[in-house]
Amino acid sequence: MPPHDLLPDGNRRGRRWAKLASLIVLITLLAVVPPAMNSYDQYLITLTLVYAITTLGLNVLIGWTGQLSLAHAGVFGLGAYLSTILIQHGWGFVPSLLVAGLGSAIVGGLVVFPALRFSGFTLAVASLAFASVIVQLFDNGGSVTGGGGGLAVPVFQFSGLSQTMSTYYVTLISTVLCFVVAHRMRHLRFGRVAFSIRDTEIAAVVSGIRVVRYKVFVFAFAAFLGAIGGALYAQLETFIFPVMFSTNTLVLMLVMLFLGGASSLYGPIFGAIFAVVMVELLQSFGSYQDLLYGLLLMLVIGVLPGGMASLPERLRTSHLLGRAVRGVASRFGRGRQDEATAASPVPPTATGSSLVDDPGDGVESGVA
Amino acid sequence: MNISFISNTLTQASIYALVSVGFVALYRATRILSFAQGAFMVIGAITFVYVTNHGASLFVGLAVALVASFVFGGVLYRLFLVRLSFVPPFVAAIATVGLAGGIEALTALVWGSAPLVVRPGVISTSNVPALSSLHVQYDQLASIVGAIVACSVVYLVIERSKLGLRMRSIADSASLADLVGVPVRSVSSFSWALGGAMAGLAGVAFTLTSQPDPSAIVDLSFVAFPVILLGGLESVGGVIVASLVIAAVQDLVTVYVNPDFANPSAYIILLVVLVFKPNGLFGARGAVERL
Repeated sequence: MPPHDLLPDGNRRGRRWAKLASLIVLITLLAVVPPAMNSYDQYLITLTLVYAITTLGLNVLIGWTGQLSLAHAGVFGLGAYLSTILIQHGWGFVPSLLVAGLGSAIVGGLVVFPALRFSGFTLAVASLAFASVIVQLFDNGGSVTGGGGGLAVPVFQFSGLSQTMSTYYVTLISTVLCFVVAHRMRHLRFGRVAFSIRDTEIAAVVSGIRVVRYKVFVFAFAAFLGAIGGALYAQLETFIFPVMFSTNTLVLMLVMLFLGGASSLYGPIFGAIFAVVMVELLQSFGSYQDLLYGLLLMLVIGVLPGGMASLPERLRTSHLLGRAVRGVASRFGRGRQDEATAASPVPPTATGSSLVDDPGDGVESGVA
Repeated sequence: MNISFISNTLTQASIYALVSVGFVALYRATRILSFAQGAFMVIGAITFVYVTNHGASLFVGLAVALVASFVFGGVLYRLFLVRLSFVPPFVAAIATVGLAGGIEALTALVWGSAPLVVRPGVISTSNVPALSSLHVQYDQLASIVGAIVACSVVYLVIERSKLGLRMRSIADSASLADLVGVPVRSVSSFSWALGGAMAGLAGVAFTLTSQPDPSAIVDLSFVAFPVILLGGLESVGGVIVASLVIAAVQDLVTVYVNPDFANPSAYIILLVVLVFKPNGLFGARGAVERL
């Protein structure tokens, strides 16, 4: 049980207001500051948000519901290609974004039907196959998809804003909307159902949950988020080609997911920030990046299965570091609360049946 | 029907069989769904081409590639994968996706994307005179015979030896196996080494017969997944039959329909069969569902 559930109600409500207020400040900053930056930094911030949306989709699928689907890079590409092709046929960007998202959601929800009979490895292989078929379509689509050479993306622009800033604001609004929706879903019935499908699917079936219906919806929703991310990515990169949506991209998404913290709501944001900072820092290493991503994914899963979102919890409960942190904390008058956690018989970081621990913003806290 | 059809199918099937039997070996002990078999294939292939291009003969090259991929598999398990025994199976599978990506990036750095061309003279590509009616080339014969030998050895090890029993006991319960004195880490590492070595051999066989570039090897390893699932994940005999089925269908599609549909057809067979037989053709009850 996350520690703040032990707090009296008033205190918890206070924390929620503090959380909300800091979120509003953060979003305001994100709206106000970037125009003053240089265009490359604007690009990086937009990229971070795009990655965050995309990884959120993967998180709903893998982290929340426990469906090992590896088609996300393909779906990401589907969104990019659909919106680009629509724009080339004279659509506006925002309608094309929505249609690309909804179209991919339909594809994602339909394609999953034969795969619903399977779980685990079979689903992974089937989804990987689906992704490779999508990428082959991009490769062999003739003049529609531009083949291996790819497509130039007609970039849209608000009057009075640069191209990057126009994309940035659409991305920012999309990010906020997607995370608000995900937040509500997580804290209402949907989230609990998703976690129950992940942890004990049979029990979920027995308690009358229409698991198939939920799974289809989860796949569709994940595809929607992935495609929105892809469409925005296309605007940002201004040129798309099939290799951009290959297995390497999938590995990057998985790195972001697990580094940020699978099953945590805000994990994808941490993961995206980390990925973009890494890409920037390691630019001079060129092709060593892919090597590093692969090893990083292994290491995170082996060493810190809860990702960065689980770090505070992990520090609090680890034996050596935890004592030091608790010592410092108690000096600032927070000792009692932390001792309550420390005294609990089950260490919250024990990774057993569930994917990872539920970090602080667990389902229970939002129900009240 | 084209006569060389049979030899092509058998060659292709021997490559699938090598990869999949290797997978069965490592899966039986560690229950990790490895996406890294393609990476081991690349390592075997690159080692083989490198050694033979520097003057080594076929058998020396084969031995070096075998040892390299064997050691690589064992060491990787000991370094990274041993940590995954504490995470749920499908998270471990994701970690092997990372592992595969890492190895592929590494080989791309070492080798680049140039095709792996075997030096002429290492093996003849002319037809074997004794089998002239079947149009079997020497390189194809080497792949087929090599696969039969290697698969038989692995079959004996994991089905008929004490070591194989120990591997299965670890999969059943690692802590119980440990309790009765099975050296869990060593046996698990050995199973991965075996899996790596078999994939390495498959890489050599593919290089001998097709001269692919590294990414084509990885693509081929993805087609091995339908084979593994059709075979039921745990059965050596099952994956060998599945290799033959998938290779035959792919060749038929290539000849009579369109070469581009060869790989998708493997996945379609898989989906159709699994709808009716969710455990694959030869899997134990629940072998696939358990995951």
